[in-house]
Amino acid sequence: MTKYIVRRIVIALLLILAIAVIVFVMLRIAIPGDPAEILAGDRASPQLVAQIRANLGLDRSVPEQLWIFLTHALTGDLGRSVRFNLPVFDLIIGAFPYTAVLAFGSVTVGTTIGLTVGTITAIKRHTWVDHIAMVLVVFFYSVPTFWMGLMLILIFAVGLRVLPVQGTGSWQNFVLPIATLSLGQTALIARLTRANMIETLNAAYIQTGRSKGLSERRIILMHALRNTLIPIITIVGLSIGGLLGGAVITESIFGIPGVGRLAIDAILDRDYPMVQGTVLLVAGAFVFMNLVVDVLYVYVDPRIRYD
Amino acid sequence: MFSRRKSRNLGILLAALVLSTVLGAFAQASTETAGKGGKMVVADPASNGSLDPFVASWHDGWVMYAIYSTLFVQDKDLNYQGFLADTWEAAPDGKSLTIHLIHNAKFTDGTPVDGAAVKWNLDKYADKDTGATAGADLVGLLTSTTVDPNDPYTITLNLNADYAPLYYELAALEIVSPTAYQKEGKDNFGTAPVGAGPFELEKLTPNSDILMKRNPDFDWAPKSLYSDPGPVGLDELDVNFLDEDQTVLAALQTGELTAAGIPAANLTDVENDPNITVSKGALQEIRYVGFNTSKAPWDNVKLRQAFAYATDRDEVNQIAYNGLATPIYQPLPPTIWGNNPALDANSYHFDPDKAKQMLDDLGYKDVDGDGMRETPDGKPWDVPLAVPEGDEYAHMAQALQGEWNNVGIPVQINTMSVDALKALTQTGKHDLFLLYYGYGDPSILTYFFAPDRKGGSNRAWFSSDELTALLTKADSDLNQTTRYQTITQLSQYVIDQSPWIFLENPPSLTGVRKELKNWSILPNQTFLFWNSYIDSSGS
Repeated sequence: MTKYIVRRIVIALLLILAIAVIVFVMLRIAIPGDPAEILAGDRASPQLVAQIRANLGLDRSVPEQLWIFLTHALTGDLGRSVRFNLPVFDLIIGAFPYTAVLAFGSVTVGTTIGLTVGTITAIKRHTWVDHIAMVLVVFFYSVPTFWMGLMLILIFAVGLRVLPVQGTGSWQNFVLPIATLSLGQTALIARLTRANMIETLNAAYIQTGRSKGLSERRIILMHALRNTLIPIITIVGLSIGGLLGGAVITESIFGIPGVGRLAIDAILDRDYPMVQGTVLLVAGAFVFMNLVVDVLYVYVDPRIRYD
Repeated sequence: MFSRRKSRNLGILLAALVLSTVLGAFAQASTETAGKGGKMVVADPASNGSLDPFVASWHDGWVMYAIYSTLFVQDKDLNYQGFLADTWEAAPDGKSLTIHLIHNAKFTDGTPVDGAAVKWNLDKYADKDTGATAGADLVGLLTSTTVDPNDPYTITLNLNADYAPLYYELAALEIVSPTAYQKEGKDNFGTAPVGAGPFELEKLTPNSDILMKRNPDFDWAPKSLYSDPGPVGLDELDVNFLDEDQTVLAALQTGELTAAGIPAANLTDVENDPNITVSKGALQEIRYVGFNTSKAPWDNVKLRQAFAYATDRDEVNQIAYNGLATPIYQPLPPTIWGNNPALDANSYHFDPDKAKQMLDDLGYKDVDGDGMRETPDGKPWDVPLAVPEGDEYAHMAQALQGEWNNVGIPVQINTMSVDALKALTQTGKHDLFLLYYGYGDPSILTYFFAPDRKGGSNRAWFSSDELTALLTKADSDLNQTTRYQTITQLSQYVIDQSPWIFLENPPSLTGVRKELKNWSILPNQTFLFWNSYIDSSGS
């Protein structure tokens, strides 16, 4: 197992390195726009643009810039944001807690409710409970995050005035964004749980359990649910990995200063160091969560062995 | 058991709702302050960046003008008045400007705003190695700044040329505390700014908001703009970096924001809200269609004029702005000094019959009977129009496409990012493009029509000796009357040559909560709030 994890970490580091290099080169070669020109504005003289480019180190060759970026990144120095003139690392560290609250909060809420709804609808399949729940699940899974966020704002903030529209001042500020993100997560997990639970409940070992006189509650909680968890863990892991990279739309709608907003603003401004820093975070979060998921498989399914 | 669990869950739900309601109400109330004073909360995503004016690219936002003072300001008639400058006189040859500073201004670190401090700032702005975007025109123009040895509050700016936009430039330069800047250094000053503005930084949360508190020593607000010189009435100013229109609107409706821009589509909703006052104005911006005049067939002025005649600006206004914009017929909108209303009559107003006749005369005729014209040599015609991403531009492009189709011009809309569009115009291989500009001085035309800017900001690749002479004259004429006449001439020249089709001067709609008292907005959209306060009495 340890050998497997070490091997995966080495592969992950190589993968992140490859992503960093590809993004670095693409930003400079394939995507139109130049941070110096954006900073300087329309009226700027070519001399001013050149001076800003020199101040930002963009007058060096791309391989030279790449070498500087990689060697500095190894020491934790991701450069300074063009827009903020602050260290990229500090900005990401400042934004990450907000994103982490959204990611873990929404995945926790979504997974908990999703597992519950999925299990109940599997047990009560083809009843009105199942039908209504599945219609809601399809609805919540289908509606865009943007629309859902605005609807929640209109109902709970503008209409009922029980929650704030935006900001991060208190725990209440996170209720609507977490609800927005978790509704989709709930729907996904519920649907997946229901499908797997129905399949599991028809399995021979469940029938055996029933014939041995185990209670339905024990069969579902101790045997069926555990065996439906493997695909759920995969989805949860990927969701957390994705959300840690920033829930861009949700963060923008609710004014949450998370990693997603940093990333999208950086892309619009061609803030190269900031884009590179956030991409490293997104890639790292994805790769790390994938590793966690693979390790968790071992504990959920004893048949899986990596050594 | 089921019913017991259900009732317990209901109880939890009710408790949570009650708690949310109580805490929600508390959160709402805490943003208001009883009596005069109070906290004003605004949304301004563009201010989300460094607060170091030598580094920042954004200077027009709420934050910079709250923290820093400038030498000059524009008044309601767009004329320049003193702020840190008390009196001033320009040399007859226009090569120097002597400014007598007010004596009572000091930075929030306690150091005086004297001649030495202002000289340090101007020299830094004018240093090409600084790479500051503000004051970039001072590079190579300002040869030296001298402080009067007998009066530490008198400085003279020595210039190597007459420069008409000098006051505009100086009005945009934030003056920082040299002592604080040298202490903090370039890397830290952006998060620990020290100026001589009406507010000082209280808390900066990058990417979220900037909270400022009243500068208790500030009593030098320009008399031309404020009856009370200060300190300001508000206790705090909080600038949020919200950028989603609908979120901003909702936050304004709930009172989380005190003032905010309103999307044109939501104007009716906001006007019906009894708690919000709407101020309607126009931006110092225009939207236009440019031709690449260096490329056939767009080098033919008659063809460009035919397109202008085929353009119905009123319809574009309705479709893109719900009729709230101002259609324009010259390169400067009414909100920029230099606009001459008399020129509109000499421009190209919507006349589809005339457009058709001109296209016929140029040989663009519908030879295959499909309703669309072919090129003079009978080949299929397709007019590419590069359009920036975004609803506003998409609506404008669709309107233009329909109008031009009606006179038989086939249009192909190519949507792309603004950066991609600008990059395209720099290649010289483009055709037509829909774009914008925003500025506060007519010298902006030099940046779009100077011959050495082709491949850069001269996106129409249009210039001539006559136009260059007019631009040079306008930019070096310190006499406002004769400069205005020159700008009228050059605007007429641009109208005649039609490298652009001038479309719209977009609206500026600002919603302000009625709790905020004693505010106004200038024609250049400067929000005057230094004498404002939050009235929480409900009156």
